[in-house]
Amino acid sequence: MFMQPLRACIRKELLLLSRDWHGLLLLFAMPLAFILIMSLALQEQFAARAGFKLPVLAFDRDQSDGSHALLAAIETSGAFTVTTSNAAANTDISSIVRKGRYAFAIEINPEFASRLAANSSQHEPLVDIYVAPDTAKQTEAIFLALLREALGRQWTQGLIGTAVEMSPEFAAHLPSDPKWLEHSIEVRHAYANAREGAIPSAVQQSVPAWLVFAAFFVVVPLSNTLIRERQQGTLSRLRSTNLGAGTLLAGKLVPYFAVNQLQVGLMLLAGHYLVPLLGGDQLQISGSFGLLAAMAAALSIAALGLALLIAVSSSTTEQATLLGGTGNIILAALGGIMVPRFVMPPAMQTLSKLSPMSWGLEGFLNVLLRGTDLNGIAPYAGALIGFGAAAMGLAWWLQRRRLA
Amino acid sequence: MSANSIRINQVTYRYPHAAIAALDNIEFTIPAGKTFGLLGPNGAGKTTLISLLTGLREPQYGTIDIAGYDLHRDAARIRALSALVPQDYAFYVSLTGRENLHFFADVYRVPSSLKRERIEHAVATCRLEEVLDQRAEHYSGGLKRRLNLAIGLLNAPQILYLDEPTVGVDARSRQTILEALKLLKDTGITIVYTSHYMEEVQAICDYLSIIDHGRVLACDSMQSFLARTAGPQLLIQVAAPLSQAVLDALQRWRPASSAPNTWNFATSDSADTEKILAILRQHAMTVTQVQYGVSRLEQVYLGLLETPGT
Repeated sequence: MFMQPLRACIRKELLLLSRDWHGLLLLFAMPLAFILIMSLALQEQFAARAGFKLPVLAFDRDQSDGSHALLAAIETSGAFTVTTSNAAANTDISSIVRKGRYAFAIEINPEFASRLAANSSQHEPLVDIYVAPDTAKQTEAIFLALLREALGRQWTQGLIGTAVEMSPEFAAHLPSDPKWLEHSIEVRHAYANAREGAIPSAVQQSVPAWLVFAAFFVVVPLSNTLIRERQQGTLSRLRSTNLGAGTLLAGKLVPYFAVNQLQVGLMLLAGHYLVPLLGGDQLQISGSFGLLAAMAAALSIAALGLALLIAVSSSTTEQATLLGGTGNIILAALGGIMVPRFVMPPAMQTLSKLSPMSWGLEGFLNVLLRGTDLNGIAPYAGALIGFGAAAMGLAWWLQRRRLA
Repeated sequence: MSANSIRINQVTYRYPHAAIAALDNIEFTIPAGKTFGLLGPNGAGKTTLISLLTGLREPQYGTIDIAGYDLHRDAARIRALSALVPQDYAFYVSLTGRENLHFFADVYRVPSSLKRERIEHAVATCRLEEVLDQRAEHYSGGLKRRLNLAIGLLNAPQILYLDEPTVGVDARSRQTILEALKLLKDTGITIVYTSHYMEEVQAICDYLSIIDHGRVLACDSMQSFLARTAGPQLLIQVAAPLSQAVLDALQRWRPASSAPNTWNFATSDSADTEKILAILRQHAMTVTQVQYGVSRLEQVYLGLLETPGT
């Protein structure tokens, strides 16, 4: 018998939401826009982490085997791509680099190879490096280390060649595989799905982050409908019928729970299909769908609990919108939604663990990026469910006090 | 106790942290099948009493028996046979009238076989046919009041609580609502009605309770209340202040001023009206308005509120 009013409450809530354009924009359009913008905007930052090659402009004034070998060493490092320019010697290289197309320019001076072989720089540089204004200090350090290593290798090979010419017996002490040192290092990516090319991209960071953010925004429409019902006397009218408190509450929570699940599904689909259409990377959904669903459910329980607490604590819809909106932005900033946790200082990283959005994000990243099992999401899902249950309990207690 | 009557037994209710009780040891009976008016100034305790009768609040002391059931023990049974029409527009303005009616019919658990009939009846009673598929946010104040009332009729209540159902509406909607209430009266349901409009209360209520500061000042049938006034009242508005000579000439009808240049006279029959108007003409007074036999309840009401010790 309770199903008739429950179905009516759910249908009514969905109808109200479908006519609330502001609510729909907040729940669906805003996070989708964030996913698209942030995925595309941060693509290069994440691509650099994933092996994106920085462009280098080269001016080879020597045109020797040695200068060619140096440029080849830069190219084969895998971190940089070299474009050679035949511009005249008096070209203003600084002004070219300032335009921002190249991270570095390298000018290999005349007689580079012969002076390197003669062990003589004559206090004049063998190469000149120009650094673009927006090139990171760490990238500059890596580029310089690469150059020093390449120069050192050429110089050492020259020395070894000379030594072999002077003493053929010396060759017997040389390793048979000239690249043995490179093979002595094994690289393992820390991602469970570290198959070829499966390196996290901007979209794989953005989608879970903004879907967590979006899920918590049910706080605004849900608290607003609850407050309007209270203010307009509709709640009194409903309570004067035989509609139980449980049915009334379920009539609110069930539709918004469904909205949360829809949000998660749509955001994942947007990352998988829409972002690539706009030139971004494709979201790799490599984790278990069951675990994703479990995380989505836990996330929704936390968001709904917070929504009820805010609805009960606020007297007006304006208060609830302000409290819900501002609260969500603070939780997002703290929880690594807006600024990835890995760029935060250690103290902030510790503090960010207090935000329920951080629990949601870590859980989703564990599934999407790290291919975790149930144990990998249990602490985060458990924390979210606990938070949601505590918030709902507190809201219930406050509401009873209010009605007393 | 007869069916659908309401017995309020020594009920006291105090809001949390309030210094005084909103309702203080009140006691009266609302007869079954009658329209019972609750009158009182703002803050008198009328809405608090309605919220106690509808089970939204529980009294700290006293009991309420409705249709033979104890409200505390049998709240579900009582709710099933009653409906509340609150003072506010207690529905969803983003939904159409039809959607609101369907929603509340389901909340009242109206069986599917009866739902269509009940909705049609409520719509016809409150004359909402033309606006049924418009969103309620586009309704005028009067239409919103009518929808508010229509929702209260969906469960075919035997007891209907109306908290100021005509406040702020245009004359046409007020007439529609009052006509609907008269039809409901004829079906024999018990109506508990609060309003500030004396003429409305006088027109539709059979019984009346006047409440102030949480206490019942008087509770009686409408006839008995009206009998408390000496006779029909005459209200005359004049263009200029009455001189002492004029007032002396009118003294036998006990002139009392209720507003600038507005005078009430205690008359025993319509012939008195002619005599009073003749005296005013003799003194070259211009009469701008005459009302006869109205607002008698208002005088009883104001008299009770102003009487010390009541």
